[in-house]
Amino acid sequence: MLFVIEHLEPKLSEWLCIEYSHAAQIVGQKRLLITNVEKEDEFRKLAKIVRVERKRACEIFSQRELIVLDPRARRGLSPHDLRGKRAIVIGGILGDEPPLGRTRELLTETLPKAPAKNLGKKQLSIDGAIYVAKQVSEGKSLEDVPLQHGLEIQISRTHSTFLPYAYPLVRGKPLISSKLVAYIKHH
Amino acid sequence: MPVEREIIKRGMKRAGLEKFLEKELERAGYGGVDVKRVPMGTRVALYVERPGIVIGRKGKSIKDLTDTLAREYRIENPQVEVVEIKTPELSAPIMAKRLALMLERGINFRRAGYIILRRIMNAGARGVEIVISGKITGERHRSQRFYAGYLKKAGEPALRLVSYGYAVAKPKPGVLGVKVRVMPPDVRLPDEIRLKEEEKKAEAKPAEAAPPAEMAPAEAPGGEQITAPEEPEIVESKELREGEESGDTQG
Repeated sequence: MLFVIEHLEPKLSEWLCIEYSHAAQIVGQKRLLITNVEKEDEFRKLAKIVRVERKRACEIFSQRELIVLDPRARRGLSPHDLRGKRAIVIGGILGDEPPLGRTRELLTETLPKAPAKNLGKKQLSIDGAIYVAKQVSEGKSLEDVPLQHGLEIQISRTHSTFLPYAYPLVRGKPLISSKLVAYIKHH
Repeated sequence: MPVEREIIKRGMKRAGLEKFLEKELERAGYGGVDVKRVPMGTRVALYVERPGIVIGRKGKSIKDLTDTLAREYRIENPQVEVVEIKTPELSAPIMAKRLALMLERGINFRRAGYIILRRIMNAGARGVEIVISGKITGERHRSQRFYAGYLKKAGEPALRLVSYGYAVAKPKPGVLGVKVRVMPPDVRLPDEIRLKEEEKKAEAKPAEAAPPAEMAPAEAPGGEQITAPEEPEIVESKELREGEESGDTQG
């Protein structure tokens, strides 16, 4: 199963770069493809981490081979949905809280023939969504992947950062890139 | 009209009034309103940083405001009273507005948060919590929380004793929400029980230590007597330190 991230943010920020690189670590560089990277400097930067395409996912694959992950989709993803599919498409969006529904607008509507599924009611980070999708592709149901809603990162004795997203728990600990934690602490 | 609708109507009227006053008295440093029915009409106490602006030249502004309250918000015979906030650092709405202004001016959120936190704590607050939410550096939405001291966050004391302020900052990358909660220094929490005997002793002690009649305590400009701090206050400050260590605000 191939995992596709459709880059939909107007700018490739450092945060986004860290999440993409962590996603590549989770599924392996060969199984991750980032599409819709049009700007030359962004293309060159991402090509060092992962496979990159300038075209959109709908131009590379047949829509019937794809499954789109959209938080606003009616039904949750199950291993059964992935039969006969070639790739799972995830929106490369840095979310808002509450979510604005940009995935539907920017991704799902461009792939009308590809079925859309969600990964639960809570909003996940890009790397977190990749991890959950990978678990489902390996046969687990969504209910079997434990999630933690919200993550507080202590910065100093009187300061902390709260991320209002769902994070999959791996051996009881939320899955987040250590690079991202360091980035949040400094920015 | 059913009771529920009446309650909702009153709540909406109140919210509308607060929104109007917040906008109208922005320059005066609006810090809240207290509306109370009295036999003669309705007492509207406005808490502001600069009362002169609310009153205006020859009381023109306050007269206009009174007319608007009576005409548009149907407040029966409003008696507007302007109360000066002597320590604006302890007023959460004012500090939230100040923080929002700092963020709009482009001051780094971390620097601005720490400055406001320090100012509030230096003014003597028992506890403070500041939350800045939004796409702070133009990336993912997150909330930055700055906190110090002891702050009640749940239950009746949190509603009654904690000052709460909210403001919106509109810097170029996007809208940010600013929430400030301050627990003032003089609040007495329900679990702080003082025995009557202790209270009597506390009252008696300053009387014993009081200077002779010719050296009577000086009178404050407002008519309040300046007296030596009472002993129970020292006990309270000790409790505060214990509270700080327990880190109640971190919950």
